[in-house]
Amino acid sequence: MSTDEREIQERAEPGDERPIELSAELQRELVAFARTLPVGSHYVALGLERGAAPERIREAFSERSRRFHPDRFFGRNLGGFEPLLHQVYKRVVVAYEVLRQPESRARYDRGLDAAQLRQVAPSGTRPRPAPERAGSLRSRARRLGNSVLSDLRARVGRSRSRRARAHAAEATREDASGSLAALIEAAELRPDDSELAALVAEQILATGRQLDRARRFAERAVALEGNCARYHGTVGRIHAAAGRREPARRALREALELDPEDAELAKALEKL
Amino acid sequence: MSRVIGIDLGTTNCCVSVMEDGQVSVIPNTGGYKTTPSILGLTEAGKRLVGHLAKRQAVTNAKNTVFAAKRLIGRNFDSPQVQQLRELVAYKILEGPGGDARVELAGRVFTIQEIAALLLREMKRVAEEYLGEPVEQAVVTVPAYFNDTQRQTTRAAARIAGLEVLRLINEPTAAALSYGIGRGETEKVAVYDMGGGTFDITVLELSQGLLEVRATGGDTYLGGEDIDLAIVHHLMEAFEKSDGISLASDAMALQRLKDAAEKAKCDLSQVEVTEINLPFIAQDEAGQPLHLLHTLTREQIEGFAEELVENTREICRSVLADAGFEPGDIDQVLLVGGQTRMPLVQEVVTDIFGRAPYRGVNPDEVVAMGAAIQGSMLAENAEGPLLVDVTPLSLGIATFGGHFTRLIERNTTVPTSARETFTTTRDDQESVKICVLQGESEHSDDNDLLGEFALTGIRPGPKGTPAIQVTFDIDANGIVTVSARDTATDQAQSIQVSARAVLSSEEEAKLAAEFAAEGEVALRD
Repeated sequence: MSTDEREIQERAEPGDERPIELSAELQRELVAFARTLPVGSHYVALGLERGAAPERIREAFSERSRRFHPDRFFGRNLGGFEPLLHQVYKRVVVAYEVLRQPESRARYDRGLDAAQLRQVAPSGTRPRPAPERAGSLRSRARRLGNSVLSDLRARVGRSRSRRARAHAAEATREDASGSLAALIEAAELRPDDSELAALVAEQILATGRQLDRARRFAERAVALEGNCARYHGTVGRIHAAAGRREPARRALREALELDPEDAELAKALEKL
Repeated sequence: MSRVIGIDLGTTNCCVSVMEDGQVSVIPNTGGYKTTPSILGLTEAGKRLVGHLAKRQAVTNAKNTVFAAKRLIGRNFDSPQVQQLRELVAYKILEGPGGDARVELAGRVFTIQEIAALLLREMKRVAEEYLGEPVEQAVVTVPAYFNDTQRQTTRAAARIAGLEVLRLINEPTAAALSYGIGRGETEKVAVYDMGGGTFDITVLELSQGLLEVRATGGDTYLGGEDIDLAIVHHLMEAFEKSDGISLASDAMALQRLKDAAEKAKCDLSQVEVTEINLPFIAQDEAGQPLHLLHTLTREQIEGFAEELVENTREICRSVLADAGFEPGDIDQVLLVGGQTRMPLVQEVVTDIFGRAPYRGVNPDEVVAMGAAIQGSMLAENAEGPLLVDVTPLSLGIATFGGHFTRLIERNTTVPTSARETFTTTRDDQESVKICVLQGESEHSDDNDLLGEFALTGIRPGPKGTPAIQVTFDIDANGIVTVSARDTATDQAQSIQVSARAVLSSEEEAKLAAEFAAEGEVALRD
């Protein structure tokens, strides 16, 4: 039995006598759609391509509304599908809010681009998508599951060099409102992604502000994946930046235990 | 299943409508009128009169006759709006135990919920008589700019009237639905709604499948009644000048002046000059009767209305800006509310949008019709334009230093949610109070308090270190839920925002039963 089928069965479990008034087709569609939402971009939520023409945005929203607007099912017994329907439709509305206005859409797009290309941005320049590159990224993202963010994850996984991260940090300072916000949003959409959480933590640390926020993301990364020296190291560096020496030492020691070779960790610990 | 009616609960008039065989019709009351005055009177004998009957006896029983009660809905007695109205009406407005405004009629104190409930019940009765069957469900309309307290109070009134509210919808949205049903092309529509007591302007985009509100704004205290009162004031001054007698303390004279003013204002939408003739309005010192005879011109009353109508320009401009439209983008302008019949209003609207308003809808009936359409669509899951509305006012919480921190900006499409992280202001602070506010002022005190709750059990630590996550959620029914969570301890607390309970649910149920029993008596009569 697939995950979707299991979920459909759970949600259709008769809590009361009344039967579920939702066609089997819609049950399947709803569950399958809901599954794409936590990982997907606003474009995924509306079933659109990144470069969709502005007039397509409203059409797509209209289509989604016809399918999932809660009023279409008013007064019906939807059982466990009801909260799902509300959740799905809310996500669609939020995506539409962002994409329908040219300015907020451009800001969002910049964030997505920055999140994708930050890792390979040449030193001293703002990350800017070369048309070709953006195109190939998009097609790869589609292959990876319709999500630009899953592409981001793949890139992050491949290029973990400190140099790239330093460039990313620079880019973040330059475009703090756009790209960092998009990255944080990406991390919120993928709460189970340790690498993304760690990346966000490092980016925030690089700005030197909101260290508590950085710490929460770093701790999330550690909680999700306890055996990564880098994550512990990030927690330690955040504590150190906030002047909390004891927790900083503890975290850095833990990191060194996992990766005794790392000279930078040792240096950071020595400083304390 | 019984039918769902649509009710427009207006400041000056109410209107009820229903869908029959795919057609929407406005239901006439027993007198044959399609609208019913929003007036409640209590006779000395304790008999309640609603609508035209109440209006007819208003002159002789002004102290015990309430009009424009909608202006008091969900407002505190202390508010400037209530204090202003107090000076202008003959009935007594007093303060309830919860600081709410109440009305005293023939020695009995009524909450505003009860007054509104009696009006709603009358509309229910009108519909039941027409349909020949009981009615239990309704879609009720409210001004787009009503805040959450005013909306919750309206819902409470409907419950007391024995009506289940399937949905509260905004008046301009209802008007647009009624206009847009069956139209194919995508249009950008502005609804300019000036009724007896409220003004709002709403910009929508509508197509076959979707009716989407882009922005809304207004003033819940600007409307035709203000023009009436300005005319009354003018007549009183003129009379004092000519006859040396002030009519200000004479309730019966005031009521006659008010009726005459309203009628003159309506006449002057058709003609240029009208005469007001009120014989025996007062007596002189010798006991001789005095008569009021006065000529009013359209130009004069346009003078009274000018400032008020001009004020709507700025509101229209800012709403268009919020929607991201230029005036020239608007394909159609709909006029709603009786006050839009005034030629001056139509001129200003034409000037604002650069096009003459649409003449195909009846401004008094279109709102109730839209409500009935929405009611039938909900009840039958029928195909038709789906409404996607916005939240008219920003929502947020009070933060340190008396500031208002917005989580959801006004004109955000609903359903929606927003989350932000806050912290403590004292070392080892163990609890925080979350005050949920609605409004546009930067100062928390100037906004409406929708509710408050405390989050306790915060992990002790230096100030500024705990992370308290506050989440706002507005569902498709417009219900606001607010929750707070300490991310360190996972302690969480949440509330569903509902009206500060002026009446307990027991009191509500008791009134509902009382009103229902009266209803049966009336039907047997």
